[in-house]
Formats: sequence, C-alpha cells, structure tokens
Amino acid sequence: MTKQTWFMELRRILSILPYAESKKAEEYYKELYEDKKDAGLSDSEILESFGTPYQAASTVIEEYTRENPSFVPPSYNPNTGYAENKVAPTKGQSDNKENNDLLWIVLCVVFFFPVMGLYIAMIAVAFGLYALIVALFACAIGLPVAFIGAMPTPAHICAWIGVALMLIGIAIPLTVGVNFVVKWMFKGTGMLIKTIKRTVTEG
Amino acid sequence: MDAQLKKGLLDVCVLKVLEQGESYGYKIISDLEQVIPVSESTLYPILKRLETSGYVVTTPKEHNGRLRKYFTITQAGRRKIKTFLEDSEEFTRIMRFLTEEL
Repeated sequence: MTKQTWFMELRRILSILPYAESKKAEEYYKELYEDKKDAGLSDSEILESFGTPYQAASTVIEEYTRENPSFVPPSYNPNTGYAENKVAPTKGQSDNKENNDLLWIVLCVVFFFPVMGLYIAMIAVAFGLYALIVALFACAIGLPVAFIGAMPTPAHICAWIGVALMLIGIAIPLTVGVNFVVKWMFKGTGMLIKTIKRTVTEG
Repeated sequence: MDAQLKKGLLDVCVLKVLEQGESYGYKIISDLEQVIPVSESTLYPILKRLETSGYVVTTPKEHNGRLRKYFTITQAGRRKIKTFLEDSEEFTRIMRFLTEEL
C-alpha cells in the first residue's frame, strides 16, 4: 500500500464523521508521516507503524463516539466498506411497526365505507352547486335572448338586464365559494389521512 | 493492565512529558517510548481528550515549510498531574495491603 492509498482509505473510512473531525485526524497522521520521514524512516516502515487505515480510523471513530454517544457508526467491513447507513431496528421496534401496520389496515377497513359515503355525498353536493352556477349563468344570458322577439319596451329591457346582472352577481361569489370548499375538501382529506397515519405509526 | 487504568496513566504520562515543555505528536511518542510504548493510534484519542478537557492547548507552528501542531500544558493540566500523584499515594497503600503476606 502506498502513502496515497493509505490516506485515501483513511479518508474514506472517516467520511462518516463530520468533516472537521476527519480532517483533524488526517492532519495528525500526515504530520506524523512527515516527522517520521524527516527522521529517516521509509514509507513502508511508517505505514507499518500506523497499522491499517481501518485500525487507525477505528480509534478515531471510537473516541468520537465516546464524546458523542448519540452517534451510531454504521458497521464496516474492510473488504466491502460500509453497510448501508441505516441502523437496524431492534426486535421491539420491529414488532411495534408490524402492530401499527395491522392497526392501520383495520382502521382503513372499518372507516372505508362510512368515510367514502360521506365523501361521495360531498362531491355530489359540489357537483350540484356547480350545476346551479351554470344554470344561473345560462339564465342570465338566456333571459334576454328568449324575449328578444317579444318587442320589449325599454322598461322590459332594463328589467331583464337587472335580473341578468343579479343572477351573475349571485353566480360569481357562489363559484368562488364552491371552489374554495372543494379545494379544502380534497386538501383536508389528505391532511386527515396523513394525521391518522402518523398517529397510528408513532403510537 | 486494565484498559481504564492504562488510559488514566497514559493521560498523565503525556501531561508529564508536556510539563517539560511544549511538544508535538512524534516527539511525545519518542519521549514516552522509554517508559511506556504508545502507538500513533493510541496517542490520538489521548491528545484529543486532553485538549477537550482543557489540560492542553494546541498551537500550529511552521516547520520545514509545513504546519506542525504543538501541545502545551495548561494550569489545569498541571493540577491534574498533582491530583493524580496524590491519589497514587492511596493507590500505593492499597497495593501494599494487597501484596503483603497476611
């Protein structure tokens, strides 16, 4: 192993630590390397005295773990490198997850039909309101058209325009209102499902 | 030797070396070699621990066109040696009791 590969390997193994920590350790070994070189030792003698990069890195990681107990180093194999940076769940945690999944399925089955019924009813109401809006607009436009051949007097025309404007005046805020309700209906359902799922999973 | 006991002893040994004057990694290892051989990987956590505890401070200094980290003992470090020596008197008494023929 050359100096370059030794330090590259050390850097790779220490990469799980914060950059400042791994840099400090690397600088320590580089300084020792240079001092030993100045003392007349050969590359192989120096690297032999350091041990393998894994041995050198282990004490650094061990000390960092002692200072930061919340830090859990992933398992390392000198041949294949680090395992996936995931902490395997303990048996208790695993059982708990299975129970939560089961509870989630039961909740879905029990509440599916009533919730879906309510949801379909709400969608039907929203469709009804949209139909009303379309009807209001159609009336507003259709009323003057329908009576166009009836030789209307100016008074009639004013009355029709007044009625048409009134219908449009009702239809526009109703459209805004229904859009708002439908949007929050979908958004609220999503939030409700997320909240239930989080409660079940964390509980 | 018990790992914890050795760890404590090594901390004080390094402090004792630094009591003679500021020093750097390679020289500390060389100075300790006569008393207790210490590897590079063993010294690193000791120096880090001593620095974190405030027993030593570090100063980078230029040497042969590169930076070298020098360690200097603090007052807390000197007190640590003193406390250790006081405690060791008690340890010696216990050792005498354990080894003497009853």
